[in-house]
Amino acid sequence: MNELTATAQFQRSPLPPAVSIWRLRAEKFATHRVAFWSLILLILLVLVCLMAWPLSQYLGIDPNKTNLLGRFQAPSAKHWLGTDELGRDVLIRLLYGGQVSIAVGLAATALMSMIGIAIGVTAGLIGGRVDAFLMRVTDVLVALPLIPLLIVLGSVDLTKLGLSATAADSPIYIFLRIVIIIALVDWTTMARIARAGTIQMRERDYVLAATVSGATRIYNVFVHVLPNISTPLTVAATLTVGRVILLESTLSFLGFGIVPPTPTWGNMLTNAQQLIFSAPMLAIYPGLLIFATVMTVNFVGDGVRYAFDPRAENEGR
Amino acid sequence: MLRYTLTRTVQALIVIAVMSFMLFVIIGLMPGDPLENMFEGNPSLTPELMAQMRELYGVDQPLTTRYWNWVTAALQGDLGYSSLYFRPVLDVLFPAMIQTGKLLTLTLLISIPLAMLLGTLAARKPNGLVDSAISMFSFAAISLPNFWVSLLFIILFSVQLGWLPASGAPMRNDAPFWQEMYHLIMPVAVLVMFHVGPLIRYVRASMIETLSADFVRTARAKGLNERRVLIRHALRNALIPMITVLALSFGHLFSGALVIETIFGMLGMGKIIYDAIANVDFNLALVGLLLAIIVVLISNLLADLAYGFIDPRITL
Repeated sequence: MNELTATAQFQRSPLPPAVSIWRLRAEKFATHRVAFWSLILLILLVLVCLMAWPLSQYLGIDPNKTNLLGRFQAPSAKHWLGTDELGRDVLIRLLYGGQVSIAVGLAATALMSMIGIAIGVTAGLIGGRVDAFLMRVTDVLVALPLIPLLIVLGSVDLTKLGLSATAADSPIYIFLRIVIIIALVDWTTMARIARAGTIQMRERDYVLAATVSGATRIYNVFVHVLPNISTPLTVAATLTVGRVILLESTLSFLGFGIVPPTPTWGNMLTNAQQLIFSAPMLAIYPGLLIFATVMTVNFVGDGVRYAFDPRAENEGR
Repeated sequence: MLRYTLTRTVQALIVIAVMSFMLFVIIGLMPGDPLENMFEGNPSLTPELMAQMRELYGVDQPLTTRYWNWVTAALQGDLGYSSLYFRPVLDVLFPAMIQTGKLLTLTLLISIPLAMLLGTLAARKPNGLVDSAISMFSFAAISLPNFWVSLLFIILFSVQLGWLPASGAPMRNDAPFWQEMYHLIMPVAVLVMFHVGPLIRYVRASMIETLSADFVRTARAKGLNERRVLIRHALRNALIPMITVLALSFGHLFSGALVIETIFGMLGMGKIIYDAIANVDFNLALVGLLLAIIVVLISNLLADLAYGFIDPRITL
């Protein structure tokens, strides 16, 4: 092959199309097989949970209506997974419970990310004594046992804080309460990651240049710091969702989270312990769904970490 | 070293003081008031008498006054009574601490060697078949709700097979040692599974890093056999930072113990705290939680100090 044809060939070959970073990440994510199938399973789980209302309409079932004459029914054409100790349809309650659990997981993760990022960025940006103080608080909170603290916070009587009794018992406040208390005790990982990233960014030349040009700290945070530390934060947030779902189900199981009649996978297991002789299946389904959800979320988190980390190249999956 | 120990101790004391006030406030926000348990069992009490008793016990005073009274009494060794057990709180909590101590010690004795073994096996060939299997196991262990695993174990081993007792402690206090261990099998197994997942992942990561170090290559170049390289050279170095991970896991472990003690009906610290909060026993909940926090903080401090002893390269 002489030089001329080589040049000609070079000229003829078209430029490779511009590929966005998100496309690269998605392709890399798809090569992580376990994470890929976990994501598919997770999406299916969410879709099935969203079928709760249509399905209950179709089968003509009210998930909160008790029927003492129809307790512990075997699976049938109307009650696909049978009924529980109060004669309520197990399947529909499982689906509604899934919606609640996943909603708590997402909402608490969003709130704790905000708290953690605010604390971490503040510590990293101001430094000095503020930093030392905030990080000491974080260190202590990391070491403390979370479940006992959450139980105490979960048992707080909202009427003593000036809320009316009807408001305090409404499902919305119970939902918000568990989201808030989980976010209040579990923001530490986010704060540490945000702080480490902020300190790295603070010393970068372009941030210094922006500061010299008169950029305020707030401007620097939103334009230079946050976009650059978004990768580790995204990874941490994904893994957090799984942990929050576990925390919520544990709390609801112990009776300090979401309380009946609103179903969650956790509180459906509360009574199951007394019923392991008569109806062991009631103890199987909710736990299996918690396990499947948390496991797939964790695998997706692992896949996101793999896809976002440019150094995780050689791990053949 | 001494300076570091002193600073850390003072910091721990400050944390305990702050936590005691915060818990005092939060527990004060629980439903009802501290005397409710006393009133409940006594229908002959008139509202006037109740008000009189509230005044006598100082329940009607403002929050800061009540906290100050509680602290001054506590510092003189008077931690008060439990309204649920009608006994001094320390009399309730000390046996509970021993019970939880047994559970946690056994768990640590199993989960640490298990994590070392599985983590090392996984690190020998990253992404190999063994590693994938162990990885899968640790992911499952992290994702399993421990209360559900407990229920499954009870259904399988107690109800279906009848091999193991469904309670975590024998009925009689003077039961022989072997019987106590027999009852502890299931609770310890669940707690080990709860604790070991993150540890395995940690040992694996640490071992993979250590195995690429120069001194490991030297050891191999000398012709040492692989087992000696893995255990004597790599594992010993990889384990040093694990002390910190272990120290941080104590709080997590206590959370697990609370759930497991509640399900298996063991009167440990976790179950006592749970019952105290569920039955609005204000004083028992407060002292129990504080005690748990103090124990966790002390173990943390000890682990940090041990770090300096084990690895002389680290100066505290």
